[in-house]
Amino acid sequence: MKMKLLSLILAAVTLLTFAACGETISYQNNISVTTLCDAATPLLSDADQMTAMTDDYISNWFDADVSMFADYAMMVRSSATNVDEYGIFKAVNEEGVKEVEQVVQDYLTKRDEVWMPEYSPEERPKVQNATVKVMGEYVVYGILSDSDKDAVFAAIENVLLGK
Amino acid sequence: MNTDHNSDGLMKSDGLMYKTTAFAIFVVLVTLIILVTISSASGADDVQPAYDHETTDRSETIPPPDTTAVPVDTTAVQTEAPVTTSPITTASPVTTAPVTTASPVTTAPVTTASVTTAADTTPVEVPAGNTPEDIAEFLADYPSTVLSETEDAGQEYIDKIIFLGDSTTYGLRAYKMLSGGKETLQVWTPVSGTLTLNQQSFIKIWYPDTGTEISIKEAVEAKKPEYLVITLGVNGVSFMGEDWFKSEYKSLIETVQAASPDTKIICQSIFPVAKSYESLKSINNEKIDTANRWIVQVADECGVKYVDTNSVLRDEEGWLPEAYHNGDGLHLQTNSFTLVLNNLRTHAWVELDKDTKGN
Repeated sequence: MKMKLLSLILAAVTLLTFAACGETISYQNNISVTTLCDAATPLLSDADQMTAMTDDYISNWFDADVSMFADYAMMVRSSATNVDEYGIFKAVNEEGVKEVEQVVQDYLTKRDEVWMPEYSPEERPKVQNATVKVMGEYVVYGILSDSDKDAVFAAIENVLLGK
Repeated sequence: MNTDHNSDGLMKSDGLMYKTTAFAIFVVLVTLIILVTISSASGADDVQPAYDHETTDRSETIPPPDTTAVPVDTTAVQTEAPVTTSPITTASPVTTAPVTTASPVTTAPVTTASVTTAADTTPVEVPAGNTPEDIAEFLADYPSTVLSETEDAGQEYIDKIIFLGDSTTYGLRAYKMLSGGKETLQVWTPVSGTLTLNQQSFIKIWYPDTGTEISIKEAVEAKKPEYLVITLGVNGVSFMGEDWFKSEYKSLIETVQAASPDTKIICQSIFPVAKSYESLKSINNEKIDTANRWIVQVADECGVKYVDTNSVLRDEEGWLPEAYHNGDGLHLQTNSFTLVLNNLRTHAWVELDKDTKGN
């Protein structure tokens, strides 16, 4: 009887373990970046200062053509009170996600490298701790305080998850 | 019998249970083996990364900054908005006559300096920049754009100028170099005190007349300054290539021209940095000299003027003298700002007489 019970438990645990391994978070890939920004931007203080950057601005910083993105937005604070910004870049397909993630990472590295230490040193941790998060075909980054970053990422993720 | 039957039935059920369990484990193991085999065979590079829910925290890969020697730029960070009252007309500038002791040095060869920055103990070969002869020769090709020496246009000339720029301009307010002192209405920078050229199209500046943050375009439309001296670019030389730099600079000039066609725009050279500047790998005088040439070319293309102030701030090796900065190797202080203002006064865009007309 004990053997039977043990076997059953072992089998159940094994199956559940593999079932858990196979679980994926299913993001929607048909949400417009504008919709995502509408969910995220209001969570930041003085949200009206968050300004969408132009194609030239993005392509110059990224050293890449914006055509590599299916949809995109880079929101930067227009007031120089802080360096807050975040961006959402949708790859043209699943295979393109890695490339998009790389250019975003390169951008953040460049931002850190060219940071002039004498300027607003209290803002530098936001650049150093900038975070990139991939959600399906969307690559999101944040140069924000930790709490703002959590809020922005969660808002975007909730929309992509249909919550 | 019931018991037997039950017992017999239970035994059959037990057997079925064991078989089912064993089969389940077998299936799982076989699946696992197949997955491992496929993964190994296809190679690591071909495996698609699991992009779902993947987060990269850059703080894990970027070493913490060396904060032991980072100077805090007290001129660049404005923690409190300036009081915006009516212009103080009784305030007098620091100097009323040009300082004549400072003159550009004309014999410096192009040299490289081995510099050890505060943040990095590895010596860095940093070019000191162009020679004065190189600069003069280049500027000579733009006689209608580069402001040449004039008679002293006086303090009233300086009083007509709005200074738009980054932290190197903000110092004019911090060091009370202009009429009105810290309440001057002549300095336009963002509240942080700094402005990177690539931000010019969207960044808000502190507009002292109203004490509000508005765009450069809005400020120009509101003020319509007689003269606008632009001093921008030092923050951009570390990462902006020629096309990007020129494009942004030109865009800024065109914005001003469209907002106030009668405003006389003077593009001022980027100031040099000192040998002690911490970030010479990113910003050095070679890059600054190159960017200043781009500014001349853009000014010429846009039909505005260029004033070479860089040359009056260089020592014989092309560096900003240590006595001219506020301790960080980049930002000027009272004595060097005096040279800047005097250089503007003696390279004025005024129609003094026929000889200087068209400067």
